[in-house]
Amino acid sequence: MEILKVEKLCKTYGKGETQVNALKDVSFTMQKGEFAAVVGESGSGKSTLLNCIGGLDNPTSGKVFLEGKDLFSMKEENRTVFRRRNIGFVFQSFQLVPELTVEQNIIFPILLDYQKPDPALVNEVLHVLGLSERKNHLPSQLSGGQQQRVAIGRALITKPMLILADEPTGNLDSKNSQDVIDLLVKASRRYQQTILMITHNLNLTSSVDRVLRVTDGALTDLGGVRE
Amino acid sequence: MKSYLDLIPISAKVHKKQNRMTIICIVLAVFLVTAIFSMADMEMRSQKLQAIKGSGNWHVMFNGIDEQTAAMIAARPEVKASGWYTYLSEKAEYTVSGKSVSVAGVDKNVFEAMSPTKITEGIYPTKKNEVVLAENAKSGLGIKVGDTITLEDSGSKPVLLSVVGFTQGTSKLLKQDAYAMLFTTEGFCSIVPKDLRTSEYMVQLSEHCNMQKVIADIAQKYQLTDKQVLQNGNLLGVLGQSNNSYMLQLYSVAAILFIVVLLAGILMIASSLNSNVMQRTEFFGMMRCLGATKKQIMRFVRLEGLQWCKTAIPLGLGIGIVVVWVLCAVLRALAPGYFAEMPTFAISLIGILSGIAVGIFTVLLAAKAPAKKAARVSPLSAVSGNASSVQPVRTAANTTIFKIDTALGIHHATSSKKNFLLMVGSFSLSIILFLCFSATVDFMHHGIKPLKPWAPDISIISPYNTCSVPSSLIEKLKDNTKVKRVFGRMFAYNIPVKVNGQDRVINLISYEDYQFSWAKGSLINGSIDDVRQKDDQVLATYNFESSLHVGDTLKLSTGNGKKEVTVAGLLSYSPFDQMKGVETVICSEATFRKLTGKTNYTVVDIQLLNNATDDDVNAIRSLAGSNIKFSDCREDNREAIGAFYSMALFIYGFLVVIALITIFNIINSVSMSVSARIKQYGAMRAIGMSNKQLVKMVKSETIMYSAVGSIVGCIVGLPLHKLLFKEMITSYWGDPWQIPLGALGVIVAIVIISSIFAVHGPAKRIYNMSIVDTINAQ
Repeated sequence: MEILKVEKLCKTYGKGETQVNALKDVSFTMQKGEFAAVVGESGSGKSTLLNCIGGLDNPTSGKVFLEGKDLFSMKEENRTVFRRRNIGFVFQSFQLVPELTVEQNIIFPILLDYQKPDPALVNEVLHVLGLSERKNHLPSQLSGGQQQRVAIGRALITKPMLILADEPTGNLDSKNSQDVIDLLVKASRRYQQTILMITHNLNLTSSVDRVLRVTDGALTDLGGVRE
Repeated sequence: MKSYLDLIPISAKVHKKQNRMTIICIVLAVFLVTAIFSMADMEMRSQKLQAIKGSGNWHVMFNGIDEQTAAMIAARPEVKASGWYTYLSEKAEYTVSGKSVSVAGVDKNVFEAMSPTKITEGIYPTKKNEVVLAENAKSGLGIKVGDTITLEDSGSKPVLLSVVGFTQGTSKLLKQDAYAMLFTTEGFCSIVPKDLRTSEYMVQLSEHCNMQKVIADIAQKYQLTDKQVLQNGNLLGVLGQSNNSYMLQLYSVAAILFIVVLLAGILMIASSLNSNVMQRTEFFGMMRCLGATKKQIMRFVRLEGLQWCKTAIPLGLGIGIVVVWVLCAVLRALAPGYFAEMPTFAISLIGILSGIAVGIFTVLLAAKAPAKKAARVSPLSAVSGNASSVQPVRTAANTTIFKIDTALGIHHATSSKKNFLLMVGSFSLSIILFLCFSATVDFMHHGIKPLKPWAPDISIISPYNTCSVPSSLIEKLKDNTKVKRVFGRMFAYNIPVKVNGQDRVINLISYEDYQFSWAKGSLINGSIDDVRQKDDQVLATYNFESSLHVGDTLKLSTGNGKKEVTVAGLLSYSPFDQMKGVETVICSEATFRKLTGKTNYTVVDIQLLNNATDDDVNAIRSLAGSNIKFSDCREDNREAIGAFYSMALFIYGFLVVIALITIFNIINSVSMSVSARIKQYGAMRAIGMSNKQLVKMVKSETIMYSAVGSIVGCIVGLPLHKLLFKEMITSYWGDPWQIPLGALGVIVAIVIISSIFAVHGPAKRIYNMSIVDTINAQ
């Protein structure tokens, strides 16, 4: 089942001589439960691609469909609500809310929807992430690896159509990096979660279903790598 | 770059927006202090001008001293000017052309240094037989400089005097329709016998000495009694040199207001600086990481603060000075004759120095705490990624009671105690400041009476308070094109009446339409229209001993026989002096005539159009004839208007400045608070926080500051208002203190409304920023 469809996505910054084409006619699709990695050099356009797919940035042209819904035909306010219900984000610098505990950070998107979280699901996510003991801790009381696990929990809690992870291991040591990747793979398998992850660490791509390379704004599908 | 301190201008370029907000905060604080202190200074100057115009520029007068003592006093180093002022004792009366004239002798140097009036034409007398006269004599006696007049008294032979000049007339002279004549001391003594003279030694002291100490020292040294020493209370009061207990209370009020203004300025800057430095913890951590010592970081923060002062202080001073110029210009426009001496571009040294001092010292003091904190930043925080742009969080937000956006907003406000205290402090100080200054509005209304709508420019009065001013005069005056309103009153004094079986005495006064309509404002009970339209109906005036009520019947015994009238209305106030045991009763002209049989007026009051000249007044004087007392109240009215305008302008000016500062401070504080968390807001937006929720979050944070600020402001401000009210008003006029609901409502509304609206600017800024830019914001 096709979850994500990216159609001729272009993003241009600046004008005239200073014009930079960050994305050039990028098109691809992702199926439900697929775990894909986007690789590329620094400045190749990986983050721009992710930001456009997540609706954080507006493309210059092209379309992004999530389960057939055109993301950029929605009004800003509707897109925000759509994003919090259907797209999970994992950032390199975690971006946790420092005033909220581990549990509150995880259920944050549900709270933004003024809904009550399902305690069983919250406990399950905490258990899967190995954070049950730390659910009442503040982010400042956690290590980098633990903070990133909380961010993954926050991305998983709404069971979104798509999780976008921008260099989720960029701030972590190799042990924690592997743990985070293992968690994402586990989530992908356990919850049939579609995940698109940016990384420049090619070692981490061994665990994913498919690798996409971005070079100077153009995307090449390198196909599946997982053994 | 030659030194690490060269990083300051580079850092300033990068953090332009944050720095701009801090600079705005310093500008506001400096402006607040400069404007309020300069305005207070200007008000004191205007009050000093008024005090000098009212009673002269002398500080103390000694009577019953000899020449030798006077010479000893004059030789004291604190004495700036001194000299004799000699005038006629009460038993003597001199006349010129049959008109009573007040005669005095004073030497030129004393006149120039200490007289409330100035020479407007001609010169000051130098010879024995030369005199100057007050200006009203020019038209009244039909004389000019160079003319000769004859001074007469009942006993001695007439003296021929040469008029060498004219002085300004005082309001008292004009009101009493009297003339004033000034000789040199020698000239006066050569004409007036010794037993008809009273001499006083006028002294002007240096304003920099302790005047009370000097006066007490002189009195003790020359064994002068209290009766021999007369102080110029108004002037000494304005100069801060009075020993009057009420004036001392006013000084303590001024001291409290001074401290509150300083505190408000200090807190505004401290709160802003704290927020600015806290936002750059990571940067300071990086500097520590690269090898900067704690001392170097502190020096960096202090110097950065001083750099801001370089722009902010001149700007704050400039705005403050311009505001004062505008106010002075308004004052001169409102009462031109009165405040002509106020300089166009007045500079208040006190205001400027206070502004600079508050700016520099507060920045240095306020920078100390954040600088220490910045210096304490661990180098590790820069490299570990744990450095937060906001202060560390110790407790989690409570998401069980409030919705997530509200809970986060409240938590943002309260998570850092220091930041919360500073913000609440700066919000509440605005309220405290406003409440404190609002007490001075009550003081103004008690201390200075504005001109009442019925205040006449000219009064034509029966010389013996009988009904002798012809009623036909009113019709003639109505035809005068320069007369705006003319209205008369008939008085019948001490009429015996019987009320409810008791014998009482009343003064019966007639009103016409204008006066009835002005009386409506003070009607407590009954109807004015009944009295106006029906015969035998009267108005009584309330006094706490009064036994007159609406419905009472008064049985009068007048020269016109026995009559009965009914009290149809009760007034809380009437403009007439009330004698003990004598009721003031007001009726229509028809009723008055019916009761007394009198048809002419006791007083005819005239209000003139603004363009009426002295010639118009003289025309009215000739129309009125000579068998009346002619009272020219124009100067007196001008003084009343001048005094009221000057005080009202500055007091309301203080309140407007405080209100504006409150609004700007809140807008700036909210903007700073949003800037401090902009990255975090970006992440929240990415995760799915809508713009509405974002606004709600910032709004709840701001409302938290303003609500707690308002509560603290009331808790501290109301007792302070009570204290100031007691010192200024209760102790003098006896009015009990009441909660100033009006002022409180205004300032709390300003704080809350500004807080709510202050959110929209930064929120709009965030809407217009892409989420990616917000997350990556510096």
